[in-house]
Amino acid sequence: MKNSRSFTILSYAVIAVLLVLYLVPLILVLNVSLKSYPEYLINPIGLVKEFQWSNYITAWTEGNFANYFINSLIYTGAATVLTIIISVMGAFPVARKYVKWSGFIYMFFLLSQFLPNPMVAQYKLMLGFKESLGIFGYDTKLGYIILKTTGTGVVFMMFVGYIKSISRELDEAAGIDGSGYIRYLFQMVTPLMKPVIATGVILTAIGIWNDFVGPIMYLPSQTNYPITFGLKEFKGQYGNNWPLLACGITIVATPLIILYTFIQKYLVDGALAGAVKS
Amino acid sequence: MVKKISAIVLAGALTLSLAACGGGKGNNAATGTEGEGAKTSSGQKQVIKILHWKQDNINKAMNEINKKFEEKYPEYKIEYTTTGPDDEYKQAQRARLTANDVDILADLSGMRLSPQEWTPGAKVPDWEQWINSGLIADLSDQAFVSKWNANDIEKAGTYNGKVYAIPTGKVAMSGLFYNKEIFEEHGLEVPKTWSEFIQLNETLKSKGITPIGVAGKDVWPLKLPVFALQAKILGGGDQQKWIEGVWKGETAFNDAEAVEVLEKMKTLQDNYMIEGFMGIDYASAPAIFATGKVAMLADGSWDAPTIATANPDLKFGYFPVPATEDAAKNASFVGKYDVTWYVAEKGPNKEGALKWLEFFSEPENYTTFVKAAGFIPTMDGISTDSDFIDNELTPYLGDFELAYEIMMINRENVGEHLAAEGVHTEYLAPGGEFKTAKELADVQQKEWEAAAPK
Amino acid sequence: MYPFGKGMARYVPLLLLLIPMALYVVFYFGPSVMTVIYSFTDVKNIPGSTMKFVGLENYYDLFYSGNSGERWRSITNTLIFMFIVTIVQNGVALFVAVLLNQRLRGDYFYRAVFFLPVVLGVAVVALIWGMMFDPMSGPVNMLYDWLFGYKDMFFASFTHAFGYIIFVQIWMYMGYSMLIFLAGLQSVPKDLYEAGYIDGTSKWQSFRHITFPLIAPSFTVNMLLSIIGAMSTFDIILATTDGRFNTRTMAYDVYKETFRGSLDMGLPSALSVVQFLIILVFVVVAVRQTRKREVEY
Repeated sequence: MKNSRSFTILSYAVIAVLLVLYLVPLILVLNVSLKSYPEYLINPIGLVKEFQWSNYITAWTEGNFANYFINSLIYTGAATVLTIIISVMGAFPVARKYVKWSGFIYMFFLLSQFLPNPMVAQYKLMLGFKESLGIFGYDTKLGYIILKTTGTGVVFMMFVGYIKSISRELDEAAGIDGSGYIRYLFQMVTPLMKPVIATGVILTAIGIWNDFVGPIMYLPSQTNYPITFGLKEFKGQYGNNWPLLACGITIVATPLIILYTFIQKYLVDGALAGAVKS
Repeated sequence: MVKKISAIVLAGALTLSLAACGGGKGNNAATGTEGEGAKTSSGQKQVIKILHWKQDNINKAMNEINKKFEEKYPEYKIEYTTTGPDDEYKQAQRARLTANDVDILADLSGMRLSPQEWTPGAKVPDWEQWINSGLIADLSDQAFVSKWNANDIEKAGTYNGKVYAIPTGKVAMSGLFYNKEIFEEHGLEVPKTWSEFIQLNETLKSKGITPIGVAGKDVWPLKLPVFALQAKILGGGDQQKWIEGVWKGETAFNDAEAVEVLEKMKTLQDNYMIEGFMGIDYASAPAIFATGKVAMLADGSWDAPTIATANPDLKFGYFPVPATEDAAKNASFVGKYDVTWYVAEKGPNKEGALKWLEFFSEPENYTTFVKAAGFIPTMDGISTDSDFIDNELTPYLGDFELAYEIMMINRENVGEHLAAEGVHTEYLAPGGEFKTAKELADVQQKEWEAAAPK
Repeated sequence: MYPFGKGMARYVPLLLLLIPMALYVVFYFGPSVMTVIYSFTDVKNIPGSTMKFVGLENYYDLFYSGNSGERWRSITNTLIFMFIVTIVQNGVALFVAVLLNQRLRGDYFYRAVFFLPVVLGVAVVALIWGMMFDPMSGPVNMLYDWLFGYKDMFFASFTHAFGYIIFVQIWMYMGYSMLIFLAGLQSVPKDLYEAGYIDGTSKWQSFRHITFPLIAPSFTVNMLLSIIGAMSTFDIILATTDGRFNTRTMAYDVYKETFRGSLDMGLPSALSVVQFLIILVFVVVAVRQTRKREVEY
């Protein structure tokens, strides 16, 4: 194992360079967010001298983040939960072949990753819903949540892979005990899927919380803006006032980072094995 | 162990920021924000939806007018939505109108770009398609229309003999804001001719002052000084003639006049504009000027209130870019009609929209608006009490001439060097790929010919 | 076979499956098919407007009208974007994954950091780099100035903006690819290596002959994800340059033509179809190539 000594040193060197590349921008954001604008103009990169905690208050109020924050919580919470539920409902029978043409259904769902960009027709569809239903479709919270709920994406595929590793005998035992399908699915199977569900939650939540294009297309009313949109508006208004913008960045990024710190052990360790299996 | 440390580091960084953000929460409820007009829970009240873009000074005036309206007509509730300006606004405008989800919408200028008999195959602008599809209300029979200046309504709000839009004011686009203190300090005067202008720039430079600021990152502000050059140089000072000529093949994008326009702008960009102007975005430009970093700023007259807000003590003026050696010819602005209201025919509340527009057309309310906006009024007998308008704009107004952007009618699918009714000097070196004005001009002419209907 | 009852109970799984199926068909599959149909019509984004078939006119307009040169450039840009992102992102990610897989001190922290940009999302990442790359006050320009006496315009440069967007894209998604590789690497049995050490194989040889074939599946997953991702990404462009400064790609053009171009929806539909065909070609080629490697082993 002698030859690996130099390799280890090299490894640390490479990692160190990458760490700089990844951490410096983030640290800089935190640093800038606490500077006053004049201090920033004079010295953009030096360590902050006088902490301007009030920047955050200004950003929060001026950016109208309170409303956007709640909207984003609703969208992310609802669509993530729904996505997980319907992905389980789809993945389990397909993985177990409890429905006819399971293989075909799997391929059909997989196709969702390759389809032609549906943007044009999807937009017309959402307008159509809005016109005929009013409460659903274009520029409604419900419409956006349903649009963001999908049981056919990466999460579905991860679930199928993972469910295949759960013993079939469990199903049979439960069947003999007289348990119903729905009860079995949500009381027995889902707890076993904890790591892969955790991964699904974080991946889905990331996608929805950070969705930046969907709201521009489908949520034009200010009452419906999510937090990323708030950030964009904020940028439009404050141009190069980086201290305030840095506060905005921190505000938008924080909730997911918290979720991420809780879930990351599942993400890194067990669950991605499930992703690769499929 | 390491797991714990990394979790703690991350969590620590977050608590720091969260603690600060949490403090802001209570504050927000008390302060309230201007966007709050958009609450839909209005009980029995009928909602009137107004769509507009973000421009702080105007938004504030609009909120004031809307509030007064709601007081006078308690049965109505106004939902005033603002989006980012420009492309983003155009997107929202189109989306809302298509969804029948708006009652009153602003356009970025008066009616323009409508195909003429000398423009075979020209693109039909959105507003014209909307009117033709019956999406825009006909205002011809509304009593309030007569309150507005008939000439302005005719020029910017009339289509096929019917009134469809109310232009709320005129703005000058072809000028430069200048810092009076810097000018006085160095004994400089407002230039009347191109060579005086170059001389002025040289003097400023020799004193170590950056002459001109412009927000190049948004690209469109670069068009503004070009409008002056185009209006005074193309067709020997008759743009309309030149534009018709380019359709008929009598003039060209690479003829001597068009190249002169590009060349003069290139001279300014290469020598006198602030270093790195292509990286300045529009929201930051007023501050750069207001803090004295540059002596002049290429911007539209609508930004005067914003500049005044950025530095209330600043003494500044506005003069037309002197495009030629003929001082008399140079001494006028070109511009456009700004914020122009349309009423949606199929919106949820057309009746309310008409009522609002009637209310808006009352001289008292319109005065509130036009004062805050810094526009030149399109209603007779309105006094804006604005020194800026009276002293800086009025002397150069004369016959109000429209800018190239408004008069030019483009071919459909024209190339990017001519798109959006501009000549795109951002493509000139050093930022862009074209070393000389002529090279860009040649490409433009080629693109123009390529877009000819087949 | 089916353990949860007989008769009607047999259909419960199908009923539940119909929910994701319906959402998929209504919101994605259906609109995709409609988009293909639209591409042969003159459909307009005006309520109540009529539509009629125009054959291949939209496709003709794409490639033979005044601004077709820009379409070709968008296609070239898309391909450049895809190749560089796929190669560099997966190359770096694989290298980092191999490094982290040898149980360095603090590997857990490194993983968390490298994955963080994925969590932050496009809007935030674009702003962060907007700050880093601010031409007037950004730290990167200061560094350039100090090192080379040179200043850049970054996202406002006709020649460099696209390169910087590619950099940010890779910076953002490297951690994602890395995680997938790591998961693959961790499934490689440790005793395989030990056998290798006894034989005296070098690090590189053991990687080339033992590790790589075993992680080929994660390699396939990563290839596909980055090809499809790179071909259909436009949010990063929207958030940094908004398509200015020669940074348009096909996906950006679809968005722009749908929401900001003319009211004509046929053209963006045709563009979507062309984009789909190009993705299809590369996906098929990529799958074939990686399959070959799996078989080889």
